[in-house]
Amino acid sequence: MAENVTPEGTEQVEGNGWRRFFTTLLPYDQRTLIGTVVFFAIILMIGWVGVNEPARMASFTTQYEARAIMRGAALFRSNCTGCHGINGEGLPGVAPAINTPAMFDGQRLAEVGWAGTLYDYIELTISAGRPVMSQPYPQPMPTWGQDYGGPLRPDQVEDLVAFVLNWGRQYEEGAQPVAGIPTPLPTPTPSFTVVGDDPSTELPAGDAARGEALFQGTAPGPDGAVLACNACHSIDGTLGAGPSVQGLLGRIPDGYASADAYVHESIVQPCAYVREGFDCLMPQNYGTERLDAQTLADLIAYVLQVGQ
Amino acid sequence: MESNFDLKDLPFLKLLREKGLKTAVLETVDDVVLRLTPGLNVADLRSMLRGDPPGRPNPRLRPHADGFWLHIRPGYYNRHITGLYPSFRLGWLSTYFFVLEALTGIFLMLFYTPSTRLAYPNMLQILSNVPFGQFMRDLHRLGAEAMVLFVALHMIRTYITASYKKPRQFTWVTGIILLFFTLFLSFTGYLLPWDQLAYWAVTIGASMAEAAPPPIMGQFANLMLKGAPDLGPNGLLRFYLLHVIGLPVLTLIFIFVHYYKVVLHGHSLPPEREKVGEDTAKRVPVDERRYFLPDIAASEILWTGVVTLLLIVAVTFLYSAKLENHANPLNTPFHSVAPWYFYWAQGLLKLGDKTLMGVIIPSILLVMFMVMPYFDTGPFRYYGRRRFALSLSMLFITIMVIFSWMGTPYFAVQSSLDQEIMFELAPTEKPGLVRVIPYEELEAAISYGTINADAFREIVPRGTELYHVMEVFARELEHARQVPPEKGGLPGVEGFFTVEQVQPDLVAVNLVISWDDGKGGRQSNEQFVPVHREAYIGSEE
Repeated sequence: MAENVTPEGTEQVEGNGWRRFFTTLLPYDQRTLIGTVVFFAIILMIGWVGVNEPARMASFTTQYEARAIMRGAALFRSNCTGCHGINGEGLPGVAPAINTPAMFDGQRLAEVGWAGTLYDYIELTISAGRPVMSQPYPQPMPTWGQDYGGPLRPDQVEDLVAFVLNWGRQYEEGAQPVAGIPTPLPTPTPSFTVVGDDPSTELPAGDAARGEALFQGTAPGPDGAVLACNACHSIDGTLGAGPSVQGLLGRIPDGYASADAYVHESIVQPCAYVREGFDCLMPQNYGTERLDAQTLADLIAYVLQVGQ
Repeated sequence: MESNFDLKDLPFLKLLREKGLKTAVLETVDDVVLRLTPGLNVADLRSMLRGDPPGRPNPRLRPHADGFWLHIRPGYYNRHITGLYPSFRLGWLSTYFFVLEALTGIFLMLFYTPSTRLAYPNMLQILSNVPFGQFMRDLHRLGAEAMVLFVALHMIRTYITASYKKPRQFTWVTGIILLFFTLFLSFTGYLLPWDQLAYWAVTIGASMAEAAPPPIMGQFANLMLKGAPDLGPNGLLRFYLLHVIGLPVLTLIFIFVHYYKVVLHGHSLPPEREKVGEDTAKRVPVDERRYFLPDIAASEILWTGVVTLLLIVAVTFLYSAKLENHANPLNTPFHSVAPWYFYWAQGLLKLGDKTLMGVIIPSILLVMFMVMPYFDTGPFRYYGRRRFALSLSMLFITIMVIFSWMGTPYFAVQSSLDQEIMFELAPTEKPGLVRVIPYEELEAAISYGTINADAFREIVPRGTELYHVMEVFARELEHARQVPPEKGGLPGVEGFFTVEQVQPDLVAVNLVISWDDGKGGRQSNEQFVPVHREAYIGSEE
């Protein structure tokens, strides 16, 4: 009887093989042995995991940062290239270059008087936009962060910052140029004589057909970049950032010698007269940097043609 | 004021004076052990651990009468239930997983904030900057999945051995409640990482709340659960509170009830060990007894150790809980599914009305399970006399498996082939084929220009990963060409693969699929897939 109540499982069991395996307990001392081995195996495994933790955490961080750059690249492609160019090279008169050494060497920060870090500058600019216009970019940057009413979540803004900062690596001191990465367009040096911003300058006869191509952005201006006046000024009365050209001839304010003079002044000195209901957002460098006399004359001819 | 406290009156010092140091220390230790165990002194403990036969009366029964922890465990079992069969330790393992979840969960709580703004960054923090963070998270996740599995298996075992029959009907009812809590615990925890996987799986699951009839109730239930029409900050907070307080407390209470019923009724014997209609679990002959201390306890500790080791090995070498991109309510990932233990519900939902399939049928099932032991009152527990009941259970399991399969994207999901191809090559929420091509191969592919998927063999070096991916791409396109247009085929489909350098260590693959739209024009699906040099090192999943 004493034999039967011992915990060793020494009593006779019926059957053998599988039946025995399923219905009987291992002897107590064998279970103790297995338990002890298992206990030390657990300690060893946890130790092994612990030893590898620093490397694992570092590798996770590297991977995660790389994936943030990837997500940022996709966000940039779908949200930012319209204004900042497909490689962040900027579009003249629309938005400045991001992919430029000045962005990363402190020059841009100094220009805007930013005392914080480059990361914070980029993050805030993306999140909150640029609330005021800055020359020569008439259109203020919209807010992108959800906190400021934009469409992107904070983590998406962070992904974009990671992507933008990754451009900086090609400008780091001693960095090898990476083949295949398009660098920003060099600032075009005007190889033409600019017309200047004096509205009384004499102009040659205009060609309305070329004016239309320039206005619609289908032909480049003298500096090689498109003008695309239609981005802000419609010709059919649709409201844009600037007034529509439609009906222009009927609303010339007093004091202008001719419709010609009015349009001329409006292009080279956009802020001299601003129509009620609009702000002066138009770049003020057309006369001094971007147009020669023939181009201006062509544009005026086209505007007067459609401004009936 | 005179104190009546005198150091000399301390029992230990008195003992010291009377019996000397050695005896005083030994007797004091003995006393402390007796109070802690409680009821076993050092000699009892040592003889127990050695495996000596107990004395009479058995001192090892005292902790069951006097101690808190053992009072919900029986003092002894019948030896016929102490082997693997018939319990398979499933009940104990379910409890084990509950405790494991509690411990790993407390660890994770230290680093987690239930806010839509911080939850996901906290997850990244746990994975990148907390020693053992990923380890604990993987244990918690794997433990949760295993707990669902083991609780379900425990229920199946109980059904098969007919252990729910009189007098254990109510034990079964509490078991069904515990199964429900387990599912709900796992489900609420699913949301907390606040990634795409979490957000959409829970959105699918929680959509059932909205379907509760009548509509006003559905709206109310949905609002109660999520705090808003859709999952958002309030929903996350509610799921979190349910996950860490509400459900664990309820589960714990029912675990105690469940355990207490085992003390009350004893553990049911294997059916063949009892006469029909008798319940002899409580009348264990002395020579058939297996005392809890140390025998059953040793087995339970052994199982705890073995399963812990298996889990640790699994999370170290085999399993890693996924973390997808940040939750995005505006973008449903392709092929979103509920957690696997709700596949069956998703399968039901595909068949028809949300209210009927998503709410009424599952509720009826739950109620049927609960009342089942009060209707199935036949005395037989032998397998041979329960052919109908056992066939029914097998049928039910088969049906659940089929419904679960129907819940996966393989069944009745309408998606266009171009999306399927893009999903295979570059899905949004996992690496896919393109992103795990070695970076050097992608870099080399820049010089290939645009590769037509039907003519890549001359351009891409054989044996490279890129070659393999292009083979898959070409095969999928061929398949899409052969499917007739009315069945979603893409006539005249062509695929293009172009790599461009975007930034240092960053290339992008432009995938384009274009096909005849049947109106004389071309339609296309384009995807821009950036790949960073460091993004997928050693990552195959």
